[in-house]
Amino acid sequence: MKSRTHAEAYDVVIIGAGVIGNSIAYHLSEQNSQNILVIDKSFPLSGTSGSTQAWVWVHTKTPSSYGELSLFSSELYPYLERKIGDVEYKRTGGLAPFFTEEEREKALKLAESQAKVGIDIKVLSRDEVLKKEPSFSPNVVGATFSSIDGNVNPFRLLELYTRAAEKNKVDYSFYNPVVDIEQQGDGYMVHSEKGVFRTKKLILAGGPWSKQLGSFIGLDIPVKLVRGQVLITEPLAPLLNYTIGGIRQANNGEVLIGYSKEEVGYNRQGTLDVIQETANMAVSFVPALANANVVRSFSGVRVVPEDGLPIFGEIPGRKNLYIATMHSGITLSPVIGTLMSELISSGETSLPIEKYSISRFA
Amino acid sequence: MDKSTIVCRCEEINVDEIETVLKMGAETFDDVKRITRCGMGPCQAKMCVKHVSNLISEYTGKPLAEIPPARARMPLKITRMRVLAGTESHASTVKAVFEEGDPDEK
Amino acid sequence: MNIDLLVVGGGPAGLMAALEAAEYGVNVAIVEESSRLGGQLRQQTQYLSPLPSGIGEIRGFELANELVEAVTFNKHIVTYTNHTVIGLYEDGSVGINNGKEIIRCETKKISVATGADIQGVLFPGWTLPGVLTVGAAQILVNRERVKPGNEAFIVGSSDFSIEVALQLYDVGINVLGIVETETSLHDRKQENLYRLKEKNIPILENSYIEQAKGRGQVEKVILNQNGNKEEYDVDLICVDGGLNPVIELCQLYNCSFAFNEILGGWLPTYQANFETSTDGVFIAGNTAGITNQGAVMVTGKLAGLGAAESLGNVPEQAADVWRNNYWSELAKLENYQVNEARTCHIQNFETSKTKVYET
Ligand SMILES: Cc1cc2nc3c(=O)[nH]c(=O)nc-3n(C[C@H](O)[C@H](O)[C@H](O)COP(=O)(O)OP(=O)(O)OC[C@H]3O[C@@H](n4cnc5c(N)ncnc54)[C@H](O)[C@@H]3O)c2cc1C
Ligand SMILES: Cc1cc2nc3c(=O)[nH]c(=O)nc-3n(C[C@H](O)[C@H](O)[C@H](O)COP(=O)(O)OP(=O)(O)OC[C@H]3O[C@@H](n4cnc5c(N)ncnc54)[C@H](O)[C@@H]3O)c2cc1C
Ligand code: FES
Repeated sequence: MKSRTHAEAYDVVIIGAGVIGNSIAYHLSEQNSQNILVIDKSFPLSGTSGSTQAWVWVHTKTPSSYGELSLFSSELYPYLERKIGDVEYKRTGGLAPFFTEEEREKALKLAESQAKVGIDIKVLSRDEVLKKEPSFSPNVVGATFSSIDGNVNPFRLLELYTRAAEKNKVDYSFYNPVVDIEQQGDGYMVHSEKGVFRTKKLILAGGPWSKQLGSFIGLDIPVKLVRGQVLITEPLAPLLNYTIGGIRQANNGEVLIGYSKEEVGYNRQGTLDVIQETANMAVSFVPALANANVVRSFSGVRVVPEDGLPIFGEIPGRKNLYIATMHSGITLSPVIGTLMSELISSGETSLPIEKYSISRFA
Repeated sequence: MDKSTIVCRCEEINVDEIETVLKMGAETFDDVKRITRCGMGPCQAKMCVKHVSNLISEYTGKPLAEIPPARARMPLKITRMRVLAGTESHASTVKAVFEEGDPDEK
Repeated sequence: MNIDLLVVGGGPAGLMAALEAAEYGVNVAIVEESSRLGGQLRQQTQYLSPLPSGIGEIRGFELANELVEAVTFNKHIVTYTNHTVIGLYEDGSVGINNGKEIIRCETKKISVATGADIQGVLFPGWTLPGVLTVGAAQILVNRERVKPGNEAFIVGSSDFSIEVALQLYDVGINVLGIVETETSLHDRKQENLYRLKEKNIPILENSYIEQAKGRGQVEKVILNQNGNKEEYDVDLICVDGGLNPVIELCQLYNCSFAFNEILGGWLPTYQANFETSTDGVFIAGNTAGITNQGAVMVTGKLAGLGAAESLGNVPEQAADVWRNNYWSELAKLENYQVNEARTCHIQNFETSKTKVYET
């Protein structure tokens, strides 16, 4: 890693070294030998990508077209792993439990609509749930199940994206906040604490700080911040066979629980209120967890576009300026990286992406 | 001290693994922790944070005063789930997945 | 639980803070994680010195017993052992684990006296059984009555590790030497150095442990002294990598922090009344900077006084008089360098907050 102190020219500058920025950098670097720089105000994993549940989750994503995008992304994971290395991706299958009979109706409707895009969902009875996942609470009424869901190790994922991109000669500048962006002709000047970079194409991948990046260039990025707190147990003997909505067991035996939703800005300080609610949920889903020790909790700030769907693509009216910001970026990073790199290098994409354009908010 | 000397006992992370992350440009304990898992073990970094800070200081040439301490996380001490869960049933911020249609929301 | 002052940690600092505040009629609750009050004093078998004026010659655990008795019979103080502070609720109330459930405690003021963590020392083989911190060895010998080994090296030559070397000797452990990287030692307690000499325990300057070896347990040590390597048969290595203030609770309170090497590293910034940058959060004892036991007790008094004053239980003028007294006592008791560092740390709070790190 060289430290960059003076103005330098690049073909592409990506602001944000989270899972989204890095996936784009990696996929782009695989396609051709452009000169690429990734800038981050801190270090990879310091943003949302380092404080995530990291499910690669598909089957409950609606509308179906969004489910389909998630499906494509999870189908890319095995190929990605072959290229960048073992990111501990496991297609465990996913169970989303429900606790009332009315919910079974909704579950059946979901299965029907997702089938149209090729997402195969089974609606399980109580007994079927308990047969699949014997440690689940007998209070469960049923669950939707799909074999496509799974999870990944987010730390490994981001580290290996970075290493693969570095190998393809992508430059990185860490601990270097971008403080302003200036449009110059068809290109951009990126002002950072460590210097100015000139670039032909600029990609905003700032996660929760997307609004701030937008403001540098007079754009309103319609996203909100939603904090989530997650509990982690000590490593336990194998307890869960599947990725369960709200709970998963990692490779090393630790169980991760919860996904609270709190709109408190950038504040990442957890609260005992939510930690206790989460523990309560853990025990009501999987009673055996009552005996587990909780070693820590963490909290992360999700960036959630106002309509819940990803925002990515070129920004209309701003030539060569791109954005990619979304929730569920772990699930989506392979497909976003693929589509964005196609768009950036050829202007075309192998799937239609218009409905994800920021212009839908205009 | 050689490269294979263990720094984090709980997660068995050695000097070499930490130096690899320092080479990437890590500057804080939490940077090192997320990539190596150093500090995520049962002692929650009590035994290794100082050693890692020393390694960061040596590698980057920064004084210890510029290397922030590890972030504190609740529960401050290991706590049994049953005790945390208490008896109240769970409230609004934590929702059953299915109720929302999406585990991480939409 | 609804009280005026919550004291977290039942070591000498916490106990003194509680007693001082109770003098002024403040209702105090002490919560202590372990099953007994007294903190690190409980396994100190040596006579303590220096101690605050008015306390005669006394061993550490005896002093602990006296303080515990005073606290137990004080009508303004309630104590809760086996109670652990685990975090904070959104409204600022404190969550305490009593082993069955989490109790929510609302308190007007809090005094954090959670002590210090002892650090290890890195060398190949330090994770082998038989390598312990000096603190752990002291607990085994003085509290659990267990002999952790027969042939030992001590690593690090603080007053504390010298104390432990002597205590290991007293239970029949052969201490081969105290390993020290520095080449000249100053500021050590003279009487302890004298006792070391008496017992034939050398301080090995300019030396370090190159490696510890053994199958499933320390059996041999390679010592590097003045560049020469030599192998010794030992089954116990007691290390002292220094003490660091336990600051997590202060981090949750969003206190500002500054780094001060002499006081033990990162610690909250605080004022002359031992109140941190967060209103109502006081600190005491090793949490407020590593120092000796006598000084730790006085910092407890200062924090207790500060809390009582801010609750309106002591008029400001009276509080100032007492505070000045305590500060002069502190200056007398603690090592000159430590006192300098503390004064500097406090000036740092008042004059500039630039070096302050916020987690
Ligand atoms: C509790 C929780 C659970 C989640 N669970 C899941 C899940 O199970 N599955 C899933 O798919 N997703 C999940 N997510 C969401 C997922 O983690 C995020 O969508 C994803 O990590 C976003 O990645 P990103 O690269 O956009 O953002 P980030 O990882 O935050 O990266 C953005 C980067 O931009 C940098 N940056 C910002 N501004 C600047 C600037 N001015 N100058 C320089 N650099 C800048 C930041 O430092 C940061 O590193 C979860 C999120 C949370 C919080
Ligand atoms: C292992 C060790 C050995 C030492 N030996 C010596 C020695 O031989 N000679 C010497 O001069 N000095 C010694 N010291 C320094 C000694 O700590 C001080 O002199 C003095 O005991 C410090 O008092 P304190 O009240 O600040 O902390 P402590 O005596 O450490 O008391 C802190 C108390 O807080 C409790 N606590 C911590 N966190 C929580 C929580 N979250 N909830 C509830 N309770 C909590 C702990 O259980 C503990 O009882 C030693 C320190 C350590 C760490
Ligand atoms: S030694 Fe690193 S987490 Fe315990």
